Amino acid sequence: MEQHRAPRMTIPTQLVLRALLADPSKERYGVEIGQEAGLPSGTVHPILARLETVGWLTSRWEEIDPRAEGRPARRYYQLTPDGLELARAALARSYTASARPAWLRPLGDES
Amino acid sequence: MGSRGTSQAGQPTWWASLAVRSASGSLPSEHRYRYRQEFLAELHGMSPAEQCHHAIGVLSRAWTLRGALTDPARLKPKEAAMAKPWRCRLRLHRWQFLRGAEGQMYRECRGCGKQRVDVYKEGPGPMWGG
Repeated sequence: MEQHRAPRMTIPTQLVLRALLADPSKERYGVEIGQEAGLPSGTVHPILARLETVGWLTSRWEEIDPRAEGRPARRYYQLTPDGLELARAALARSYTASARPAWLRPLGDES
Repeated sequence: MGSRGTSQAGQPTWWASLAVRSASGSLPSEHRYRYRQEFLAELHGMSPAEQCHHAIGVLSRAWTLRGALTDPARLKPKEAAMAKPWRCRLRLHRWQFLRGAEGQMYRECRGCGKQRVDVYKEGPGPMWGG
């Protein structure tokens, strides 16, 4: 697993991370994350795969009895402790970068 | 499991199951079983209309998922365009001036990482343009 490479912060990736950060302790399955992020079906799984590859996310199968529940086990995703911090920092950076257009900054302000 | 395209409440329809199975078929073999089970499990609890929408979405993004699994660092052109800050797409880069290992000046955009070398030999100049 590649733990050190950060994913590219595309807008859908930011939306997924915001959805996950809304309640980091809660485990969610793919469709649930997509609904909370406001992304169409199918978009969220490639993002989750990338986040899982870089170690920001962990996933596990739901522990249920499929016969009793009447459905197969779902795959649940959750931010890792490292992923939680890195995701917060990455979102803060992306927010800072987009918050103030360059031409509104005073001359000489390089921040 | 429903038949003739209909389903009991919350059960996947055969065509939605077929669509998500087809989507998982395009994935690398080591990931195929996992995603097939994951996609099938997600169909449960959906109405047939939601299953149709979901299955089409999964099927249409199967190649993107394959790319994410085989080469996570690579972005599709559309994703790459979305990842690039809008200022940089308009060539309004935010340059920072740096000095290379051999002492030469170059500038690098804070937003997209684009570099310009040997443009400013005498030091910083205009900030705009790409």
